[in-house]
Amino acid sequence: MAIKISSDLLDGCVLGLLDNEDYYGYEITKRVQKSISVSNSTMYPVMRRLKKDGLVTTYDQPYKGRNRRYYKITDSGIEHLKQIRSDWNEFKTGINNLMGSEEIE
Amino acid sequence: MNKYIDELAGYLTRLNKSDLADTIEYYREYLIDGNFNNYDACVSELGTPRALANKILADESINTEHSDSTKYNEHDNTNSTMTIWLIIIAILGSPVWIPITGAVIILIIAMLIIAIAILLTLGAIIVSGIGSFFIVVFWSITNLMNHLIVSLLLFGLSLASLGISILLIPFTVGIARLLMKLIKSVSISLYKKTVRRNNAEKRRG
Repeated sequence: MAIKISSDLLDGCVLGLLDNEDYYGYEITKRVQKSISVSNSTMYPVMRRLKKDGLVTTYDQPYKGRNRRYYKITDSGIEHLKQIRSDWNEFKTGINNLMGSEEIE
Repeated sequence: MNKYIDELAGYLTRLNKSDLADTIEYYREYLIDGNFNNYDACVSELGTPRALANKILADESINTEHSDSTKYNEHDNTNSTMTIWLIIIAILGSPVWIPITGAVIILIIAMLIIAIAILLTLGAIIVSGIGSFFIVVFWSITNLMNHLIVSLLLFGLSLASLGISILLIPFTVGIARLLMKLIKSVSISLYKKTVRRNNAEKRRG
């Protein structure tokens, strides 16, 4: 994808993922990369920021003799996700109106 | 993998203990979960330890800057200088070496040079003001008997020059603070507009 993704949208993508299920760091990166192009080192600062802002929390779970750190969305994270979703929908509709979406063509 | 993590930790000593532990734990887990066992596999996944560390440090200081800027307005000048250099280092270490990033570095360095030139000029004025005070006082005291009027006049003038020089010191310090802050915020916004975005959208094969 050649279009630049803003950090707000990246936050929304991660919160959307975590809204379904809790994930650990490596899995988050790989799942985000299935849909959009981000580098492998992009997600750590994103997760840190989300945690700092109280939108996600972490908990450790034992796995094969070590701990895995899982990320879990918080209530304010869910609220924030709703906000980003509605902002995005508005933005998407506006852009599609101007540019014409593929289905219309 | 341990060698990679150790090297990464070595480049991140600037972080405080809990941030360092958090970062190292994240990447250790990441590399284990992805089965990146040998050093070269780690490098091809995350880049060299140095490049990764530079990116972490730059992102960290921007995030901190962002959230703490209202609290620590007066005390962050050493941080300013640090942030500017971290950003330059992060740009140099970024895989996306395009003409724009070169231009950004030159722009930041040019701003730094201008700031240093202004400060050096003010510094020179202060030093010469204080220096001339001592020379003139010495002359007027030694020649007090020969040229009484001239000596008194020069003595007064030198006191004035000393006063102006001393008044200039806080003014210079203020200007220094202002310039560093200005350059820092410009650097941060340039970094965000170029390197960080390019990293975020880098195509993965």
